Amino acid sequence: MSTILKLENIHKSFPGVRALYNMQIELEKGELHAVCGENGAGKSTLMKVITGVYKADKGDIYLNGEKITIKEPNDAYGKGIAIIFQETSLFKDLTVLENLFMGHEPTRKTLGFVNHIDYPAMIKKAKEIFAFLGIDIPLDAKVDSLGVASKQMVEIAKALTYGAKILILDEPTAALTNKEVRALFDTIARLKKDGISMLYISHRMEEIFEIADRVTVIRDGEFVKTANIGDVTEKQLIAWMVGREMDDLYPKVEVQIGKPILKVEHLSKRNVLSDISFEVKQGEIFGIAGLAGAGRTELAECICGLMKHEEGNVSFLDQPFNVKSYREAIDKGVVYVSEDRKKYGLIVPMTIKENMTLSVLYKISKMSFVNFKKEKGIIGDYMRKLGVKAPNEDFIVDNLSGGNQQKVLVAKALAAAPKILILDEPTRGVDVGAKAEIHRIISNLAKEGMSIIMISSDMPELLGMSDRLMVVKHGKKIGELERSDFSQEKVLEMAL
Amino acid sequence: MNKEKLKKIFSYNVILTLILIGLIIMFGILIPKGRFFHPSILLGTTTDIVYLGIMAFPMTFIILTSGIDLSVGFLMTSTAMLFSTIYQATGNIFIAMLVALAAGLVFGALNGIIVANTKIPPFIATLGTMSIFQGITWFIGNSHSYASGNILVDIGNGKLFGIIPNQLVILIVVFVIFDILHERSSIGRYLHGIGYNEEAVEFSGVSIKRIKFIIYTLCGLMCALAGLLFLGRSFEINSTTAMNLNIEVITLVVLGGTSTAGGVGSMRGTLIATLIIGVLKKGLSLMGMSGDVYNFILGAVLVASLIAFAYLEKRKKIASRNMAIKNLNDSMDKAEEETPVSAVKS
Repeated sequence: MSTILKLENIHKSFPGVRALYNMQIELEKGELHAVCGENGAGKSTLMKVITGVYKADKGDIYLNGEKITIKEPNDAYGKGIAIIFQETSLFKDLTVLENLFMGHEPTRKTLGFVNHIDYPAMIKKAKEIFAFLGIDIPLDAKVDSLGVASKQMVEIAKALTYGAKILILDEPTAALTNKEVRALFDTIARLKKDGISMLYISHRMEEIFEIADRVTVIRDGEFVKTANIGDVTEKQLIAWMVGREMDDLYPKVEVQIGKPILKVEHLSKRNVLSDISFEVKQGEIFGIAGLAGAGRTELAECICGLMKHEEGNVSFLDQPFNVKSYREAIDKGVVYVSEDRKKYGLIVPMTIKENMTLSVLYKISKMSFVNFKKEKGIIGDYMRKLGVKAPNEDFIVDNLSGGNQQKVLVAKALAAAPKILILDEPTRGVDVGAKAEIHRIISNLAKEGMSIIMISSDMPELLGMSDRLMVVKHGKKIGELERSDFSQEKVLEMAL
Repeated sequence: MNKEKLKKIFSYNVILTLILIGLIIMFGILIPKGRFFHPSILLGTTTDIVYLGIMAFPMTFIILTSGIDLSVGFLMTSTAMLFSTIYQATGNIFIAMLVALAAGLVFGALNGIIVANTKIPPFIATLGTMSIFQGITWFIGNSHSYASGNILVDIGNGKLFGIIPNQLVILIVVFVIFDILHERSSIGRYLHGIGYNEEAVEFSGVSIKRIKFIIYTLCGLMCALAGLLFLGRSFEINSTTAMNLNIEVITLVVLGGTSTAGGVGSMRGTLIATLIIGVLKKGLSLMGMSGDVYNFILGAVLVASLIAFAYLEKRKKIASRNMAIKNLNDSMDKAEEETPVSAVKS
């Protein structure tokens, strides 16, 4: 077999994130090549580089041994590379036929000069392609009326009308029933027989082992390995994808856990939270698990006065804690770190200094005039303590990496001298190295006696860091687990 | 000389200052017989625009938060009308001044309450209140002029040490107060924050409502003060005085380098822009040009500075993006040299 597509030494960065680093992949004619990696490993970025949506910062792409540049998606189409998206890119109000030839309709001249679309030619070609793929979809049906599987087939057929030789399938089976998956695999087999090469992105291991010829694993934007599917086991693949020992990532420190300091009783808010009670002890890391939208963020916002609850009591250090504003909560020692760093957490066009002291500016001001000396002291302390990597405190936050931005955000919260720190998704969008560093910071804070409430969708993080955790679902508390009872299955079972 | 240094030297405010000097030289050449190049005329250029500058400083605060106050012109004339009416009725200039300033405070507070407490965009909210203040202005009187020989006129036309116009002194004093507020107070910092990302400021425990209320109220007060200064200078105010005032004030702020998108801007820029427009206004009138020419040029300046600013912002964004990527790659490469990637376990 001969190599049809080859990528070498591809680099691609976005502000704050290094998406691809020294990436490579080789695709042979007629092969189905699976691409594996965790969420955020860089699979989608790689596909977008191949299809010209992104331009690589560095690196070469070879097509049939010839070095090429792909300037834009249309360019990729012209070179025979097509991507079948998770969410279809079809025009739903147009017919199947119109969609197939959108933008490159065959034309014909009437009376030698009037240019118009050649419908008979379109229909003929469409029928040929459908017959080849073994599918039966009426050409005059509106795309809107088709099911997911049929839409996907139309996408594949559309790619073939462009004469695509390379297809990229991005999680094609995610929304399909078992029967539809069978039909898709059947079509894939026909395509392979015809010498069409495919890059296949999927999380489903059993699928990869069933249909792939080779597999490439990527991790943190870097190439890990390419192997023949017959030479690897599922376990091996997962090890390549994760690539790290759990212990390094979750440096849990043994802490003397004290008395309860925060008590939440029967907290309710219509349509959002119902009857949630729990308590958090001194020096404890209290995890909150649940699906996105289960009410975790709302719970945190209700506790610290960013949102109003209708019923229930919160008490803090045996005193009622019913704050009217977030300022009051900060004053009393309850600080919240938002899950959305760039929206609610930081003002990215401003400097590290300005961000770090934003929530304590009033404390270091007299008659609203800022004491710059005090401000400098605070910043110096936390830059060192959290190891923020930046030339100086006047550096614009937007220019920092995601991990360093997150550290600035944590520093901002710590500057307010909290007794309870509520962290909402503390390591979202942060590379693995910074993740471990942030976990170490959290562990140290707990060791110093701070209580931490950690909301996270990252299951290993939650299990690795928490002393105790609570699972919420649809705004209700499902249950609590002690560290000794932790298991991913149990939490998932409760959360789903 | 490295790029950073060059950038600092050619900062926006320096460019503005060069424009100011260029304009002065241009008018000095165009207007013959030393009628422009004369200390008293040059210093006098400011007396025509001090009332604009006084309103432009609080307007800078407002635009920094990505807000706007369209009502400034009629707010100014309505309080000035109130002053004239009460002065004529009572003969007590201090009471009249107090009432005018109090009215400014109340009118500004009205803007502040609406903008801070509703989701109505400031553009629309102050367009509405502008109409209210216009109604008050027109209700009180179409034309109002009053005699000279009172403290207001003495201040408005007097000169410190016989050479520096009092109006200029007032402009500088107000500027210094606003500049210190902007550079050194916590509110100054919050204003930038609100302009860039209102939610993040709110999530830092800062009351956005309070700050918005304060700046719109302050703006109302300064408009009333501007009205008094205007009366002291021109003896006269009528219903059409305010017609173009809001555009003039906004032009000063935008020309001064404050982004209408919020976040970026400085009092110094607004001050220099005020002087530029002052020189322009005086120069054109000395050349015998009508007010229409001034309005035309003013509009052109506003549009041109908006475009220039949009262009600069775009360049800055691209530069900062590239720098971010470069920094990231550098630090990654460095980190890799220091700690080699551990071998994959299989």
